Amino acid sequence: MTHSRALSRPRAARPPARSSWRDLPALLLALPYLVIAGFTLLAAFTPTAELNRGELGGFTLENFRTAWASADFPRLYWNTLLFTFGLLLAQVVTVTMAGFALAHLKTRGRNAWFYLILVQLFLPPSTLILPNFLIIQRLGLADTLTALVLPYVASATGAFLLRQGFLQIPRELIEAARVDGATSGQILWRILLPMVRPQLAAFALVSLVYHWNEFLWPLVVLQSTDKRVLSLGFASFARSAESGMEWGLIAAGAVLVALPMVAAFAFFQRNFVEAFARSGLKG
Amino acid sequence: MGRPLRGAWIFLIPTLFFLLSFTYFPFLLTAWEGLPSLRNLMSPENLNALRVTGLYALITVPLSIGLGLLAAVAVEGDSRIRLLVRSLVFHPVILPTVAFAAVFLYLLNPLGPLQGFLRALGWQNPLGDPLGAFLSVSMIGVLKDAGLYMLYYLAGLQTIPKELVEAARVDGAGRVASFFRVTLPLLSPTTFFVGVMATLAALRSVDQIFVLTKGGPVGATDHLLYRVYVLGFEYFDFPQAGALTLVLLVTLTLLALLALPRLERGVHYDA
Repeated sequence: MTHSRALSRPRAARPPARSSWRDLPALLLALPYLVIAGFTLLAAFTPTAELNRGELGGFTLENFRTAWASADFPRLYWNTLLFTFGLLLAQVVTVTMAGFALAHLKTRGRNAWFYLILVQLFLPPSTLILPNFLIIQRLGLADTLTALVLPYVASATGAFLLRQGFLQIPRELIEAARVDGATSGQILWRILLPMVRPQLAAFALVSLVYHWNEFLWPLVVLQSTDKRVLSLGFASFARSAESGMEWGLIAAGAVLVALPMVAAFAFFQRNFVEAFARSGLKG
Repeated sequence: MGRPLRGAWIFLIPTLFFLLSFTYFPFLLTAWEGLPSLRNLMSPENLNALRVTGLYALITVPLSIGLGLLAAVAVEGDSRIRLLVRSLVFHPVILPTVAFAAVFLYLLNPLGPLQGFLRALGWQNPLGDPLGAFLSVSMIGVLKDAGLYMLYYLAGLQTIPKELVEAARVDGAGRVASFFRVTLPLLSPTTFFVGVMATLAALRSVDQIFVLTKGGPVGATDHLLYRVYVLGFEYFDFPQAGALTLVLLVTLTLLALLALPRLERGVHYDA
């Protein structure tokens, strides 16, 4: 847990070390990523006619204008925000409670609880689309935001991330509170919760990113066009743009889909790196 | 370690409720409904899907682990360039796979910017032929996940005492030898964890197939999970889709049984 901070530059920033020829392997590795990102950006700003002649260059914003209008991006962004933050709200409750429990279980039978929850890592919702769809349908929740959220509300990653946070709290604090007559609930919400804020923040970031990108389950659940989330709307947009060989549109659409995340990453780079490293739950 | 608290398990109830409803119960439901149809599973299409999934895992798991490790070693340290490359390699992790994949529709098209390179390989239209499509889909999976594994390896590298590597160097081991004899063995817990994650990803990451190949051409990218979707939600053949889901779930359970005892120990030791 402790080393995750070391991944990014220390807070009191030393100036970055001088670059040298020893950075060459890193640069070579960056090449494919640069090629992909570079050509995508170029194509997004190139008129379609030129792209179809196999040329790059020129400058137009037409691709963005068309993509923005035809895929109804404002609605896609809004639906995705609703889904990701609504889910996060529910997860914060389940994950905090579970983390607390996992940190304070009696030794006897503890491993059974651990396994019961960790198994979820191996049975992610995307592999259960078929039975979960049947359940959702039976519940009369097909084509609803609620259905979209339900399979993700319990999170093994989150529960164990929070457990780490609770374990770092000195036990004297809990004992003192219990001596003062506080109930388990009061101890959790009033005293401990503020102390696991870093773990909650890391979990929130990872959860938001993963669910922002979710595709398969939304594809199964949502039928109405106006309820679509970002990746879903973009996929159908890309399909029609592909059949018209409108590469500029695809590139511009991809940039629009990626933009919020890339912008967030640019601003909160260190938090992203720490959060994702922590989500690995490796000592 | 936190002191055991009486009744702590009560706080697990919300999590257990949702796990039961949307993980364990659907699993049982699949087993119940899917078992009778298992017999009809031996169609050439289903066998092909199993083969494609196996090959996909066989290719993407070692490649994404290797790339992640290579990247971690290459960007360890804090020169400006390395920090920049680190972000560059990581950024696909946070992008929607469908967007990352759609870009390849343009990049790989016969008039696309990579034509010179593709022609040199003798592959003008990789998405149009079975092997090319399969490799493209695999490559996207690798590029997408390697950044995350790089982070895990960077974390792993931080835990290795520098003195150990230096001692090996003083004893006359070369840079490469000390990497393989000291660093890599010490990274083995990370490698195990990353290996499990990569196998999981190979069994469930199919978003790029929806955008790029739709299982084709001639079934070359017909991944098990993609086929579950097509059978279940395009042909409404629930029995067969259920039987295939069961195959997937059983595979995942075996993976869990294999991996959990070791992973869970990792979860234990850290605090």
